[in-house]
Amino acid sequence: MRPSRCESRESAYKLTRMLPSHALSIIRLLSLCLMVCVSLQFVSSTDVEDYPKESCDIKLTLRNFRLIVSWELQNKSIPPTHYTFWSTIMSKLEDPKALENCTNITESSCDVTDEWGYRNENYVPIVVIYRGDSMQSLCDSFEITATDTRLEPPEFGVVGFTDHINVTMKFPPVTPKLFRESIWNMLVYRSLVIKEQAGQSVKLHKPKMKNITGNVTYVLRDLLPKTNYCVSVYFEAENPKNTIKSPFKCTVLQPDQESGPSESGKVGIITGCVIIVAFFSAIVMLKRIGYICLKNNFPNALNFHNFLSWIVPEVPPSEGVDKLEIIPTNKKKKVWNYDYGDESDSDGEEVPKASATGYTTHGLMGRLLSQASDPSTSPQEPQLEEDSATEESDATGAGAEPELPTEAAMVLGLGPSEDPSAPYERRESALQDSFSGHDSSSMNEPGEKVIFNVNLNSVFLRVLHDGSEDGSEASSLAEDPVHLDEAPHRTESGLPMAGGDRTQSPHPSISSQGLWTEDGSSDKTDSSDSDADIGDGYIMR
Amino acid sequence: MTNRWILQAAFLLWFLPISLSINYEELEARQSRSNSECEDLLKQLRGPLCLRDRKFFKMPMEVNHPEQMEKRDAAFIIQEMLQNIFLVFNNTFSSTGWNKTIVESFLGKLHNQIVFLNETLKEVPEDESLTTRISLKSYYWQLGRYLKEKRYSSCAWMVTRAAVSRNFLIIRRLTWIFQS
Repeated sequence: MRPSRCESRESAYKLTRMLPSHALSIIRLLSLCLMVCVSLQFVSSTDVEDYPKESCDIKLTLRNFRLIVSWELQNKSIPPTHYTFWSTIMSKLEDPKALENCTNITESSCDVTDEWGYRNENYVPIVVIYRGDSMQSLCDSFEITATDTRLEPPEFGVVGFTDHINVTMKFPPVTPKLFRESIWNMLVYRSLVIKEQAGQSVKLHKPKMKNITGNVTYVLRDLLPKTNYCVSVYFEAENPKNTIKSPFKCTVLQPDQESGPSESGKVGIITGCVIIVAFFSAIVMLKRIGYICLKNNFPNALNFHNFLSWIVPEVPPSEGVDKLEIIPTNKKKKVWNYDYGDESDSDGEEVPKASATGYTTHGLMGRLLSQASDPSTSPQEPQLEEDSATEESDATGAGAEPELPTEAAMVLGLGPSEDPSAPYERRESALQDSFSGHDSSSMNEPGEKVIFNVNLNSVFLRVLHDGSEDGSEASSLAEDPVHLDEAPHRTESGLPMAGGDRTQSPHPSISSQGLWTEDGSSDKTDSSDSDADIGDGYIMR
Repeated sequence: MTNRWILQAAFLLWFLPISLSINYEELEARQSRSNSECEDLLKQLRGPLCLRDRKFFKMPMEVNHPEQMEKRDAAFIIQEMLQNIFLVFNNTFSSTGWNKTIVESFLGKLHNQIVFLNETLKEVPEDESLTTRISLKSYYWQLGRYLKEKRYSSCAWMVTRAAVSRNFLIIRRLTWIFQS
């Protein structure tokens, strides 16, 4: 401005020498006006700080990626009509300059993005306040630097999904410049922070910022469904006081039914299906190769599962098989028979003939010689049986044979060589059932009967002697169930006959023996037809 | 015996770079904190604008644009600037009416950071930053002479304070180099 004023003076001097005097006054007037105008302009710029001052608060804010200087007056008693914003820098001797866009403005802010071009400079903002036409005041701040910039957050929106949130931030389509540099160079050391908050849980995300333009979406992952998440976005300034956090925008993550299960759910379902298919495949394969699901209804001959029975032979079923042993004896005995006359004939008879009839009854009643011979004899007490036989022999005199009880015990298979446990106990139970409510003396009554079933298909009779007579007798005794059904009646009918003939109590075994002996002789040929010798002394029917 | 000496020499060669390395992460953290504290204290030193007393003090070009500077050189430049700022503000400021506590606190912050930098850089050899440090000494010599010419007036102090405020803008940019 000063050089221009000197130039005007020199030109005016030359003109005054060349031009006539009447024009000289006009030129002097014009030059004076020009000088006054220039002087007034110069004074107005230098004396702006001479205005009366009032307190105000001036801030520099990055708003929508523009540098905005805003001010707030503390004296609000008289509202200002308009403002003019001036600014200068402290490092150079530059006069304050009014910004064109911020002259006579009514709003209390000014965009200085295109005016302030030095990052390392400290600017002096000056606000001239107008209240009416005459009253002016000045509000200034000593300096504002780039580090004083308050960073407002970018506009953003949140969209919640099943397990993530899309945070869409709006940035300028063209990279803006601040202080003549890219805004991202300005903000390179200032973090963009996305604050994720769910209840008391707070998580901060700091995405990288470099040359971001347009809309940018940041995904918040691994979120809990059905949870309310609140998101805030802000720039983390170097000075925490200059950080402006956005208000929270919240969204509740709802399970997205249309989109189906999540990836983890799909993986789980697929894994479960694979496991199920593998399981059933293994089952089918094991079944085919015979490791599992084998048939259990094997024939008994192929039943190898019960290994225990291999070691300890299983007790045969009570009505299935009875292992009886016919023990012949050569001792003579007194046998009650229908034929009372010739005792010498009975001498030749053998006990097995009678005993065989006793234990080969088939579902019918049979009379055991041992029980019938001595009413006091019980199956549990073979010794007592013998004793009672002795007493009986005493009572009957010479006709009673002392060996008879022993013979009966042998007929029951309770001989010394036999295992007395199994068959003996079975008979015990059968007798107890049939004589329930009676003591052992009640079993001594004559005519006691033992009923047991024999499956003829699996009866084995062991023939201890080679004599075909015993075997035929045994087989004949086990052959005819029809006659055996009638046997008790016949026996009972025979007993009174014996008792009538003799004062001594009848011996059932003898009577039955005599009765069955007759049948046995008649069935001898029949049994020989159906019996088959399987060796080892057994005959199978 | 020879093998023993060779082994010790190998250990020295191995640990020497480690011992001479600078923990720039810690340095950046402490320097950033110091910068903020010093800037806040400077803003509390108020006074008239004194636009007519402004003067241009030329700062070295390499310091004004430190983007290409290495971390070690930046550390030495910061050390030099803080030491000279401390010397400038150690002059009389009675004419300013500033709060003496604020000034002493400012000097205390500067002193602590200078001690930390001296301890950090005492074993590190400096090479390329030497000429820059000489230019910086010239810059701060001008500041001191200006104060002296203005007889430590209030406006002179306000102009000097504004220059120091700009210095902290540069120091902050130098500090950012430690993060890269």
